[in-house]
Amino acid sequence: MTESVPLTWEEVARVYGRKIYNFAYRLTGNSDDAADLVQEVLLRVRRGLASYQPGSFEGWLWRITRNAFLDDVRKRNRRPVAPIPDDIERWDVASSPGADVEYSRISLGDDIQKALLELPIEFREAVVLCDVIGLSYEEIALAVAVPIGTVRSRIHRGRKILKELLT
Amino acid sequence: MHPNEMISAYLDGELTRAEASELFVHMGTCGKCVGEMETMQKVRTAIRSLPLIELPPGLLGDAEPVVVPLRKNRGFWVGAAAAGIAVVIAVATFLTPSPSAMSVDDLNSRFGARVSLDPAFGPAKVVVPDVRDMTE
Repeated sequence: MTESVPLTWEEVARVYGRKIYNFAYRLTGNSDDAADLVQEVLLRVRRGLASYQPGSFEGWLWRITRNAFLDDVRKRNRRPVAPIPDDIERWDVASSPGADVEYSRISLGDDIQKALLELPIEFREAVVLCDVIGLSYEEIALAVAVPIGTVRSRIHRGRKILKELLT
Repeated sequence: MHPNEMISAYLDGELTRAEASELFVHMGTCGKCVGEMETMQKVRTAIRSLPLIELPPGLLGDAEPVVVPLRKNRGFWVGAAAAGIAVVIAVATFLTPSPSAMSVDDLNSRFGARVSLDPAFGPAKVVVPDVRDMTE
């Protein structure tokens, strides 16, 4: 898919900032980590736009985003303590402004969010890119650098595991 | 062999017409896959009902976010309804040259029932299986 390319990173931030944040939030389950990830992605976009080759902008952007997420996961895995929170009460949402409002919105889907965090990363990212961000299988395949058949399999298996976790 | 992965792909509008036909031929004789379709549809809807999380104030600095829909692809229902309507129009157009030869009741009995069964299964049920499609 060929799309018009935002010319500046500020435009990428304006148009995609909220999507990147939601992707990051659903993958990490944590507002601080999500905010850090958004800033890291925008930094990489800023560096990468100079050498961007016209093509699927969304594929390019989401590849940068998921790579930033995976780099962060690898970094955390090298540290001795970085457990994924399994209890919403422990989530650090109280430190940001408007946390009460955010918390009440999060709690509506907390079971699903908790289940998402239990999914293996490759299934979690495929399901989130499909169901939260709304990418096509082709765009997900570009972002994750796997064949479309693998995307299809990961989304279905991811949803099946979620179903088991939610019942 | 159950075509499990085709079920999610169908719900996401990611199957070709030939694949959808193949899936529905199988589901015609497999209650397990019919149940799987219903379950997967519920899970998919549940994930898609997650609330949008707004950006923390000041995260983007001077770049104020533009409010754009989070999900850009059309919902499954829109696609299914559009495909169903397109087929109904195509069928009606095909039959129009001899209006006296077929009443509305005839049309309903031949095509309407299949169209109106369940919109979730619209695209595949209104497509008359074509042997050439099945071998693609």
